[in-house]
Amino acid sequence: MKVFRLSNGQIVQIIDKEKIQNWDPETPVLFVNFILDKKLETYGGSKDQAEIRAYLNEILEDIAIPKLTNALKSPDQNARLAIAKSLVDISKKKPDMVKGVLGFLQDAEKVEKAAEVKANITQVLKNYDKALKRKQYEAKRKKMRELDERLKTGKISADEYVKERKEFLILGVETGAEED
Amino acid sequence: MCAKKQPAVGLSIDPAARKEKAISVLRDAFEQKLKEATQQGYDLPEGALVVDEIPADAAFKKTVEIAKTLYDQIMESGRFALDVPSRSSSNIIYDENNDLLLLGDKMNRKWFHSLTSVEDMTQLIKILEIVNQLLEKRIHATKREVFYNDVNLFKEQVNSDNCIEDLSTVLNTIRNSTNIVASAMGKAVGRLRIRDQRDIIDLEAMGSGGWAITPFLDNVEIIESDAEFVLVIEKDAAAMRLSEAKWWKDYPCIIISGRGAADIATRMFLKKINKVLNIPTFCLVDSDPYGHYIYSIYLRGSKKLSYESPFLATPNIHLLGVLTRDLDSYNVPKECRIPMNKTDITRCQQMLAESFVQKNTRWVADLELMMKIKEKAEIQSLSAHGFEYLTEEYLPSKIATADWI
Repeated sequence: MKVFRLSNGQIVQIIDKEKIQNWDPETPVLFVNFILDKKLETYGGSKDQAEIRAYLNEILEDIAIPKLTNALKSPDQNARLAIAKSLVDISKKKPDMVKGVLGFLQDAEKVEKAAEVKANITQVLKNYDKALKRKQYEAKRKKMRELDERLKTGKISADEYVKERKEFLILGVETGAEED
Repeated sequence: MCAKKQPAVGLSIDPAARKEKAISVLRDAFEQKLKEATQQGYDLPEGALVVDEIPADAAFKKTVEIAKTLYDQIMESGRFALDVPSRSSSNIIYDENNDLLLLGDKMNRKWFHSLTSVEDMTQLIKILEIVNQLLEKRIHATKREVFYNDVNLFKEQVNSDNCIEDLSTVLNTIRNSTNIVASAMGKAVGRLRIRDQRDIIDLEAMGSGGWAITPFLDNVEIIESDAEFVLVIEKDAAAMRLSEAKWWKDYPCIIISGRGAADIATRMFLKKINKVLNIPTFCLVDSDPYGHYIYSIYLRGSKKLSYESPFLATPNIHLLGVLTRDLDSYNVPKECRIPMNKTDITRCQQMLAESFVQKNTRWVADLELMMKIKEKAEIQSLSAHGFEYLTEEYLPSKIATADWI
C-alpha cells in the first residue's frame, strides 16, 4: 500500500498502482472516481489532498484510462460486451460510480459497430442521465417548497413561479417521478 | 438487570484530551508495526510443513499431478498409496519466534489396498475429484455441499471435512485455495474500502449491519483505508453498539464482529487487513476463559488447522479487554459478575498451561487473577454504567492508557 501521512496526523493507505494492473478494465477508473468523489475531501488539508490527487491522477493516466480505452477498442466483441454489461450493472446500482467513464463511453458509442455492445453502452449513459435528472428533480422539489411559501407571501411574482414550476414538471416527466 | 454504579474514579477525564491521547498512542503503534513489517520476513521453523496460498490454476495443476502419480502407481504395480501429513497433536509444532502453531513434517502413508485405510483413501480420492472439478470450473463449494455430493460414501460430514483438511495438506496449500469454503459468520464495518471482483465496496456505507464477510476471500482485495486500528469484537451485541454509534468516525478504525467463535473466513479477513495495512489490532472479548480462548485463536490459530496458521493467525493482535483486572478498575458491579463454574476453571487452567500463554507474563497475571477471584463478566456488563459507557469511556480509556495484553 502507498501510505500517506497527512499534516493532521491522519494516515491514508491506497493500493499500489502495480496491483491495479490485474483488475478488470473498467474497475480502476471507477475506483479513482470513487475516491475523488467520496473520500478525498475528508483527507486532511488542501496540500494533502493535492498529494493524493496527484497519485490518483498517476493511476488514471498510467493504468486506468489506457486499460479502459484499449478494452473498449478491443477487437474481441465479447470482451467489449462484458465491460459494457458490467457498467450497466453498476450504473443501475450506483450511478455516481460511472461518472468518471462517461466521456470514454460517449466516444465508444459513436464508433461501436456491434449492436448489443452499443445498446449496453447507451443504457449506461441513459441510466446515469436518469439518475442525474432524478437528483436535479429532488433538488428542484425542495426548492419548489420554498417557492410555494414565497409565492404565498408575495415575495416572488407569478411569472417567476410559473417558470420554475414548468421546469420542475418537465424534470418530473423525464425522470418518471411523481409530483408530491 | 445490573444496578447502575459509578465508573472508576480518575478515568473520566476530558473526552477530547483522551481521544487525542488515544490517537497518539495508536499512531505510535502503527509506526512501530510498519517498521517491524518492513524489517521482518517470515521464516518457518525447521521441520514445519511448508504451506502456501496458491491461485486456482496452480491448485488445479497440483490435483492433476497427484492423479497422474496415482495412475502411474496403478499401472506399475496395481497398488497405490498417498503420503498424507499427519494432523495429530504429536505433529503440531509451536513456533515460539512467530507465536504460531504449525504442522510438522510427519507423514502417514495411506494404502488403497489395506482394510484399515481403504475407506479413508476412497473418500480422499473423491475429495480430490471434487476439488479438481471446482478448480476447473472456477466455482466454490461449502463443506456442507461437498458432504452432500456423496452422502453414502462420506456417511458423516466429519469424514468429508477431515478429507478436505487432508487433501489441503497433501497439496501443501490452505483450504481456501481448494475452492472449498466454510460459511462465514463475521461482519465488518468502518474505514475500509475493498474490491470484490468488479465491485468496489465501502465498508462505511453498509448501514449499521455492516458488510457480511464473504467466504470467497480470494476474490477480495483491500484497496483503500484511512483506519488507524482494527477492533475485533467477540459479541455481536457490542459490535452493534459501536456500529450504531458510528464509533469509527470518532476513532478511525475497522470493526470486525466475530459473532462468537472465530470462524475461518473472519480470521482470514482479519489476517488480510493486518498484513496489508499494518495497523494495530485489538480484541475485545468477554472476561471469561472462553473469551481468552477466542482471543488465542485469533492470535496463533487453532490446533485443528495448525497447517494454515500462517494464513489465519494474527500474532500481533492485542487483548484490549475485558481483562479480569478491568472488573475492579472499571467498577463492574458485583451483581453483573457471574461465578465461574467447573468448566470455566478447567479451561482457565488449560489456558495457563499453554506455552504461548506462559511466555506472556501480563496474560498469565490476568488469568491467575481470574482463577483467584473466580468471577467472569460479559462485555455488556459495562453497560451497567450506561449504554454509551463502552464507546465513550471504556474503549477510549483503554486505548489512551495503552492498557492491553
